[in-house]
Amino acid sequence: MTPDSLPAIAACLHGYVLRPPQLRWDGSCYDGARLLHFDDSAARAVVGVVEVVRRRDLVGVVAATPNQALLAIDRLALVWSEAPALPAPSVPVSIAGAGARGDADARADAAADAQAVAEAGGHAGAQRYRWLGGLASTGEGWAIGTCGEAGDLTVWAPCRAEPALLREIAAVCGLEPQRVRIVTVGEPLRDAIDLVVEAALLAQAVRRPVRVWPMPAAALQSEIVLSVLAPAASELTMHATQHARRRPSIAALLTGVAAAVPAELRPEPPMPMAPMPGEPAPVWRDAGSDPLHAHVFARESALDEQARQQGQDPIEQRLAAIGDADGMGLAGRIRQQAGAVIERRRADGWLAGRGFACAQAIDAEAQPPATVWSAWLVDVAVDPRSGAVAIERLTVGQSPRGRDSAALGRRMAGDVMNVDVANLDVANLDERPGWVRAVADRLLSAGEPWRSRDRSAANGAASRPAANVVAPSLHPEAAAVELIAEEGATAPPVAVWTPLAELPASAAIANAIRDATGIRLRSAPFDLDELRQQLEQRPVERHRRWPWITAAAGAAAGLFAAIAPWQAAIATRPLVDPSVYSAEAIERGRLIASAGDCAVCHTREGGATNAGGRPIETPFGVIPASNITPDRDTGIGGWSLEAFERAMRQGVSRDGRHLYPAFPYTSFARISDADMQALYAYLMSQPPVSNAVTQPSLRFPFNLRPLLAGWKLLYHDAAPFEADPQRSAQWNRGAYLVDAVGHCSACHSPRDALGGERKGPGRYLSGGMVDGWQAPALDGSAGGAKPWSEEDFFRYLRTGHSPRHGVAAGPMAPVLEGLSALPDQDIAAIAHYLHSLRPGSTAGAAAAAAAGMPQESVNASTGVSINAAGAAPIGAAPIANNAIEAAADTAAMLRGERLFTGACAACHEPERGPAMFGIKPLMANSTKLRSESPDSLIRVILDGVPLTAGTELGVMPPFRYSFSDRQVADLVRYLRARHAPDLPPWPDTEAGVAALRAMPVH
Amino acid sequence: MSSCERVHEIQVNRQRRAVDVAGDVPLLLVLRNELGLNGPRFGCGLGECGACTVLIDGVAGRSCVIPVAMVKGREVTTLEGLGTAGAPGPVQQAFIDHQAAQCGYCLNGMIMTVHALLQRNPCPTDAELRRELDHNLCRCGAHVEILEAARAAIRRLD
Repeated sequence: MTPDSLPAIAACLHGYVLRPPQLRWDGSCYDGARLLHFDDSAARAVVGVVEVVRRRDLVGVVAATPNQALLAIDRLALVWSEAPALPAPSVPVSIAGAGARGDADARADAAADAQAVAEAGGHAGAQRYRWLGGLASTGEGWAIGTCGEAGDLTVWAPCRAEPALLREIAAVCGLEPQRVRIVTVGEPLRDAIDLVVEAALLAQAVRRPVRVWPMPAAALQSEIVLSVLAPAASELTMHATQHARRRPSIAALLTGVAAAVPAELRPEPPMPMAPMPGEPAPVWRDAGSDPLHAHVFARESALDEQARQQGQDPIEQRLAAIGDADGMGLAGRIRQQAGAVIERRRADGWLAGRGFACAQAIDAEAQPPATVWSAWLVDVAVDPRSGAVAIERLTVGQSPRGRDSAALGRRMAGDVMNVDVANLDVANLDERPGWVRAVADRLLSAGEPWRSRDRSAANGAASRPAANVVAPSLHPEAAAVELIAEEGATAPPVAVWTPLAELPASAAIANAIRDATGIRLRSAPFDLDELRQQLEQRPVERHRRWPWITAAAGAAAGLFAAIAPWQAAIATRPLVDPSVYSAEAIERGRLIASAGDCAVCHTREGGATNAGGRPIETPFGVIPASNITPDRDTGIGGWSLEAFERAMRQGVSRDGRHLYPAFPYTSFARISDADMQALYAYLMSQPPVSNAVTQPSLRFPFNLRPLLAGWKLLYHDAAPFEADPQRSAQWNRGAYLVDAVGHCSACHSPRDALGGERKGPGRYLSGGMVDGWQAPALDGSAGGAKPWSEEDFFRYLRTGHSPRHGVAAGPMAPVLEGLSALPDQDIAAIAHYLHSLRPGSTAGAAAAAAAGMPQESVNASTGVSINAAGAAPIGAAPIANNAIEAAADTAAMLRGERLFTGACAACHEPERGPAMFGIKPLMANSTKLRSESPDSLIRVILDGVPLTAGTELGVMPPFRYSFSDRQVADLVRYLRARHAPDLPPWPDTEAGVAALRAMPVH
Repeated sequence: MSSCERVHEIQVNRQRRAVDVAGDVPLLLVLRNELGLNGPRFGCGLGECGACTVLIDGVAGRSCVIPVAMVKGREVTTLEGLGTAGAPGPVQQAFIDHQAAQCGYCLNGMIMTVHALLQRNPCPTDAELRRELDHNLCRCGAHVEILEAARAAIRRLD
């Protein structure tokens, strides 16, 4: 292989580098979780593992296949410290404390910075501003590193070969920069810089080609925390990071070289914030641009705070401080456009406020690179009772310097635009100023502060539909957006804005919220829970007392409507032209349909999607699923939104018949109005399929539909989803997805004799049976099961497989397929919510251990200890060996072992046998083996695991045709004795196998 | 990956091939029936015997239990990709030299598995070699010759 050719993938080893649970950068040093304890002996014992690399807080694994590397990562015994606590947001911290937070190598630098800061203007106190998710990865990209004979490193990756990055690799790997090379392959990706450094490091460690993959992570907490000194004088000084042009790679942070990297990466000496002339504009590069956002957010917020402290008008003060003709001109026009000051106190009790921020940066993507000014003026209204924030008006402008440049003129051309967002054609958001609104919404709807972001959304173009809006909702009245482009532009009024225009958004919104409420948000994107909590602490006068009575009356009326035995039909409506729905609404509806698994039940095997006909077996008889395509006669083509919503929320068909609760309207009732409308838009825009579905064949008296009115009285609560204000937005999002759209309880809650879900503590999500599969308890109540961490839930729901708990099979497989459409944040929210249901979940693994939950499982063949909680191994006593020996006197056990070795071991014994493609699930870790009944295990053996789209799972062939009932029973008994020796054997397995074999295959 | 798509573009032995089958059809059947690559054998159909082994991104995989939709975007190598009758690959040549077969039905799996091992570990120990071949079945009892051939392949590569 010549050094210039990309190594063949077959010749590469595969590597991952771990992310610590909390990743924080203070602009010069790594300031997140530290590695306290590290033991890789179990990880090194995994077949195919070539090397485990540790450099300070960085841990990487290189193995023959990606899955082996991931398996090894799960065997690492690691203990992380908590990241140092940040002071309460309102308390200024002294800069000396900030210096001491750094690690040993960086302390000298930080101290020097602090010294310089002190010289620059005293240090009465520093204010910290947090840019959340600033180091989060998009989970995209790759890098292949190779190490030459002489130790020279070459990395192939979709990444630019910037000198700073080369120097960083050299520093991490201990080489001279000229011995490092980056070969750019394809379009540069935002997060490739992390992978590039990691690939170089791992290739150097094993001296062979290594392909590095992005680490799948659920809830990575990452943030950039900047300190701004606010001295009494009129000068404002930023500590350390004010000119960090790019963030260092995560590897550089974790290995501790980030603070020592020379020249461009080094924070420049602190300099006065105002006046601005002379300050070099930071360079915009898409890769690692978060420092720029953090920087502008911190600086513009601090300027606003400072002006208020001095009793000045912050907008006047800011304008006066610009000191640059271009910037002044732009800011002046924006102010003029925005007009007079707004009315602060409204009759409806909402508080209004106005905020301004501007930024200057170099657009490196422009040809030639140009300095760009951008400014935002935001009018918000905040409802002090609910904490809802409405953006009422956005006036946004961008001004290129050097307008004689024809190229730039084309990019920036456009008249002043007044756009009413309510009537905006959302399909054209990428061309029209709707992106401004999208930016604002994203900053405000960031209930998941630890987001893994989609960079294309951040660019404003083609943004992901806002699937995350749960609570609080934005003000219903849409805002007016006004955009100001450069004057005198000649090109047609199609403004293509650079991403730089987005920079001042966060600070302008924070300043506006401060103006309206007096509350300063110092973390962006904003956690509106924080705002709500602070609002609750303000003294607020009581409001009208009548609304709840009206609401109660309305609810009562709704209840009566739902439980009347006879319901009115809702007239059919003419077929709708689906083009009236925006592409965004349809896309949002598609995600809801996907998360709600509509097609799983409403599609017959081999039939058209959602055309119905699939027989749903219930204990009361068979119910064929209905046709929900927009066909006029056989589907829902004639259904108005009202009829659709009544069916979804109250279980009443358009013609007035009650629907059987096999259709989980008990959950769907909680779907939000916006989601309901989007779902309707999606279903109505799908191709109509004519397919008449037969009537259900239920036993008497279950065939009498009016009786369902009584059932609903007992079991159906049509109340909408209520967010719990005590919990985080992420928790509420998870609860909404689980309880409303996802209808998890339909399978995972036990049902009583009348088919009603049992609710309440100890029942809700405590496990159920469906189609002969055991739907495991999700609340941690099953005695035998190993505790699931939040990460476990995420991995399982995202990939279909948790190394510690096994694979998604049976009816869960199509659920995984549906979930694959959802973004990572939603999956993380579900994981977060489910984890919170577990007893003592806040205390985590420690509580589980104290409660006597089994933390360890032991592989019988090797005695390797697998640690469930990620803590240090407690010991590797071969318990299972003893158990097998004790049980081995039975011939059945020996037969079972022989069957396992012959039929299963090739794929299910990763400690032995060849390194193989695909996931080799460890039987020792399967939840199915620790379950109360062997039914799910037996069903997997009989029917295998089919191909599940959107997951990393492979398939398992069915063994019903090659194993007799006795053989399956022998195998099941053997697996239970070997892998769950602490639990009693299952009784009467052979009869169970025969019964399950007779059940229909799904 | 979707089980609904019908046309699958797959990369086999460094050539791009398009096949029109359901996504859950085993790769083995696609290779043998659609592409005429009969190096991989149909043995048990349950991933137990290893006769169907191919390389996927350089790692051994049992093509009878791998749906064709799973290898989208990956490089599949079959026995034909290691060499030809006139110019066999080093592992193939070692098996010829040692006449390491009785009926030969398992040989595809033995050769592919050894090749995959040597790709990532050019000098495996005898224990590693045995472990790697642990789940490749040979009904004729040619194990001694097969191990000899594999050892010769290691020396050949040295």
